[in-house]
Amino acid sequence: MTKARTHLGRSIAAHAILITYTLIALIPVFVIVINSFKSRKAIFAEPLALPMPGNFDLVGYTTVLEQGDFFQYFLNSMTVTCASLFFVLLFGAMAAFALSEYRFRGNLLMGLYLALGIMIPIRLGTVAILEMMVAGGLVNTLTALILVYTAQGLPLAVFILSEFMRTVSDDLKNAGRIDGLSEYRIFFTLVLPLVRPAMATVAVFTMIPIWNDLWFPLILAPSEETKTITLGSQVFIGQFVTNWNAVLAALSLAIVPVLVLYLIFSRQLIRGITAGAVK
Amino acid sequence: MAQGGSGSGASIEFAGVHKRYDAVDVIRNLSLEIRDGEFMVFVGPSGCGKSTALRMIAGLESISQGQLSIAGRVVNDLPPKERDVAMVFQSYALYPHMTVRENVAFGLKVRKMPAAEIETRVAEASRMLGLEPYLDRKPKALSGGQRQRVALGRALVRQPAVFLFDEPLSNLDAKLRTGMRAEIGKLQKRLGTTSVYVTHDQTEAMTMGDRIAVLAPLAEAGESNLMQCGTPLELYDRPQNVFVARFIGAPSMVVFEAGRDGSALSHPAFKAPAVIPARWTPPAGDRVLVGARPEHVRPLLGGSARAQAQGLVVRGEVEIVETLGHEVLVHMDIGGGTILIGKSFTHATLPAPGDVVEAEVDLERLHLFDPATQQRLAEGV
Repeated sequence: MTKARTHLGRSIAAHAILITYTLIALIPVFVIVINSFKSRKAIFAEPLALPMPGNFDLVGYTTVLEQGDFFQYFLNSMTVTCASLFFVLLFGAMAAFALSEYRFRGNLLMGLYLALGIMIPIRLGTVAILEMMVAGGLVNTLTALILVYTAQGLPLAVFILSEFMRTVSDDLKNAGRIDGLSEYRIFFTLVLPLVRPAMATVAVFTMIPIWNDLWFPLILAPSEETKTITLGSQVFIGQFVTNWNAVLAALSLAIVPVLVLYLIFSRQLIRGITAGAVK
Repeated sequence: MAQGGSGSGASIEFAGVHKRYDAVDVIRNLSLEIRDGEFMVFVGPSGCGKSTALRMIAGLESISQGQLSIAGRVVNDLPPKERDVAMVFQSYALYPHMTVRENVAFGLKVRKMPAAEIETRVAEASRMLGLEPYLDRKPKALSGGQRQRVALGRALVRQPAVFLFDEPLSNLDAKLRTGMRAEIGKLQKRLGTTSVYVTHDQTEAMTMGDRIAVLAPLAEAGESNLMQCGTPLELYDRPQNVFVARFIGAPSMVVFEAGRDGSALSHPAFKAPAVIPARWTPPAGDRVLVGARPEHVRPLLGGSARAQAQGLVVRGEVEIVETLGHEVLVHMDIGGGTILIGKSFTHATLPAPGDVVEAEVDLERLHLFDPATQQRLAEGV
């Protein structure tokens, strides 16, 4: 009896903590979304009130859709995030495979060198990066952003994936070799499917900072054609007047795609975590 | 599949093969020929290089020195896929994200075989191994024995020139192991494909191999890992050195040192000096290593048996008694060594620890080794 009760008590405590944390994490998002549907006056009068027939107003969304090329911004953000993600996963996994699978001189040093980027923020090199992009004629292109984000995401990807790839059994890879697979096909058809949960983890960790980044779009690609959604939303934040309706609407819209991507990857993530336990 | 392997005469030859990791030798001077269609077993304790030798044949391990040929072709630098070998791993190494059917068919698909042919071969192999009920399951949903069968099936469908087995049965329980042992043996005889089988279990080696190569770790072996290669009975009847003598046979042969004077052997436990049969060439020194298998040591029960004893009679105290059912093993202390008596006792005659018993060792079936070289003494036929 007592045992069951302590279990129940512990379970309640655990859930209380988790629920509190969830609420704290979700309330800002919730406030943004509800206020984006209200009139400016209602936002300031009662920030926490739900959108009602009395205060309901879509002016934020209409402003966003009329002013600036928001669809273009979205597309830019999507392009940059997806392309960077693709390259980070591809190159990260390939480097991780080489590091975990082959014994060669300098293997360990190479691994440490690649992991160094986790500790040194890429923003420290902003000036040099800008100079490089100017020299390469890549300023105000999405390519510049994709290159920078790929570089930014690779260290963590290589680090996590190489640890995971070490756990793939050697016999399995050798069975593939005897079955006649080339090293590339061993990588793509045997190893990649087995480290899919790790890939999902890396994808989530890589994707969110890229989508949310304001720094590099502002510096490397501030032109109208290459603006990302985060940068695009800034037009409504003025020095003297801020169009809160539009800002909140833009932010609400910006949440949607990243949420969808997250849901896709997190399913893999959870499957990966529970794969061993549920058998 | 019934016509027997590729029929291409896939013999395998090791010629002075060495394997070094950094500065450490793992395999030294391995020279051995595996004949076409033969079932060869590599056996030895862990660290003897048997798996390394097998992986060299597969092409998974580079060769530091020497030459390895398959079917007369030097394969030192050939990648695994060009060697026409199939391998069964101890961990089974099934592809976890594929169904049984996909696992078995995978090697053929990679080789771009027509789909219809793949289907026939998979069907045939799964019929032979009884895999039909699980073809659409993932390896995760199979028991150890079933996974082992899938691994066999995957090797079988390839119809390779050589089968390689790397301790395939060591993860199975004892009963299943005995069954699979016979099954693999039968399969190999039917297909007639050259096979190399690695195991640390001498029983497996004795029961399965056409010939057995006994390997030893270099620390014990010296010049070459290969201690002896021959048919199971050759190894059992005429072990060439103490290592093989002790390794082959269960329970193991007892080897102890005795004094020698002319052709007479003496030892504190001997009731009388024993005369070495004339076929043995006496060794140089005044010591000799004597080996006796438990099955050739007979207990002397009762006075009349003692009176009739012809051979070498030893006397000692019983240490422990192990009853196995079909036989009883009595460990007898002979002063500095233990001799095993492996004959049937009845309830009435079963000795207890502490009893002093006498036993007769079959002189004709003694094994004699030189204490210095550990090699078998020369003997005439």
